[in-house]
Formats: sequence, C-alpha cells, structure tokens
Amino acid sequence: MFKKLFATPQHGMSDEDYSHLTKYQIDFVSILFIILAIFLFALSLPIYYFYGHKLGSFASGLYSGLFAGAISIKLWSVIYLSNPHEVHRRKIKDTDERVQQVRQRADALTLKILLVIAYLTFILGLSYFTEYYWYLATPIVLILILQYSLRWLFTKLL
Amino acid sequence: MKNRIQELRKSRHMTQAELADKLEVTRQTIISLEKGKYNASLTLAHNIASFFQLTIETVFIFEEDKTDV
Repeated sequence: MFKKLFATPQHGMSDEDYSHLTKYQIDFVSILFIILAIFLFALSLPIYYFYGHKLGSFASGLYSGLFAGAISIKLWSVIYLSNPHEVHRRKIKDTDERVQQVRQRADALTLKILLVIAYLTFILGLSYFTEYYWYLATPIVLILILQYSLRWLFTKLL
Repeated sequence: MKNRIQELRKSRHMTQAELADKLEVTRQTIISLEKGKYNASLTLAHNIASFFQLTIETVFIFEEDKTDV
C-alpha cells in the first residue's frame, strides 16, 4: 500500500498503469482530506465553546477548505483521467528524466532560497525583538534537521 | 558528451516531436540532447540506440575531459 502510495511514475509504464497509479494516489489524498475535514467539523463545536469565536472560525475555515480541496482534486482527476490524450501527455511529462532532473534542481534551489530568507528574518529579528527572537531560529533548525535526517535516511535506504 | 541524434533523426526524415513521441520523452528533451545541453541516462541512451538500431557508442561519442591531465 505505502509503496504504491509514494510510487513515482516510471519511464516505460503504460498509460493505463499511469492512470491507475494517479487515481489511487488522488483517491487517497481526497479521502484523507475528507477524514480530516470531518474530524475538524466534529471538533469545531467544542473549539467554539471552549476557545472562543476566533479559533472556532479558523477551524470552520480549515474544514471547509479541506472539503472543497478534496472535492476539487477528485473532480479534476475525473476530468483529466477520462481524456486519454491528456493522460498520455501528463505521463510523458512525469516520466521524462530531464523534467524530473529540472524539478529536483528547482526544489533544491527553493530550499536554499528559503534557508537564506529564514537566516535574514532571524538576523533582522535580532534587532527588533529583544525577548523572543530565538523563535525565529525555529524554521532554520527544523529545515536543517529535516534535510540532514533525510540525507542520512536515504543513504541507508537507497 | 556529443551525440549523433540530430543527424540520425534527419536521415530518417523525422521531426523532433515524432522522435520524442516514439521515445516517450518531451520534445524539449530531444532539443536539449541534440544541442548537447543534456546528457542522457543509461536507460534513455539505450532506448535511443535501440530505436536507431545502433549501439550506444555509435550514437553517443564520449569525450574524455581534456582539462583533467
């Protein structure tokens, strides 16, 4: 189940296999979003009661957004998966090794830019917030921990 | 790494889009390969060589780095 859930489309796979894989992954995300939306909906009343209107409205907005998101991605997948030409076009785009390499480079560069922004925010925060500036270091620490732990994990796994 | 993809494609009177469709890659990948901007993976190199019914070393010309002396 997990293997299929996190599987990436492989070069040479048929359009039918790609369609099945995409449908499986989209169905999982839609169901997950709906479960989360129902969970938040059930929680929203106690949140309104115990934590007030502001947090209650936030929870309502969140479950509405999750529900709308789940319906949208499911509808979008139904529309595009019923069009064989679109499925073929997307499969080629997703399995093309150069496109994948470009995406990986873009993701790596985005991470570096985010780190630079986080460092700058932290440095600027030092002069503005005298008491809580260390909280601004949290994103940097979290990103770096995640990056190095994933590197370690992938070195062991792959 | 140089390659003979453009020459081989033209000798078969194919467009870049047709070759891309046969190899199941994007047209941009064929353009990058022909211009030498992108080096194909072993799998793609194998697929290209198989498509032209040639060996990998006939299609792709490996050049040793001259600066590495």
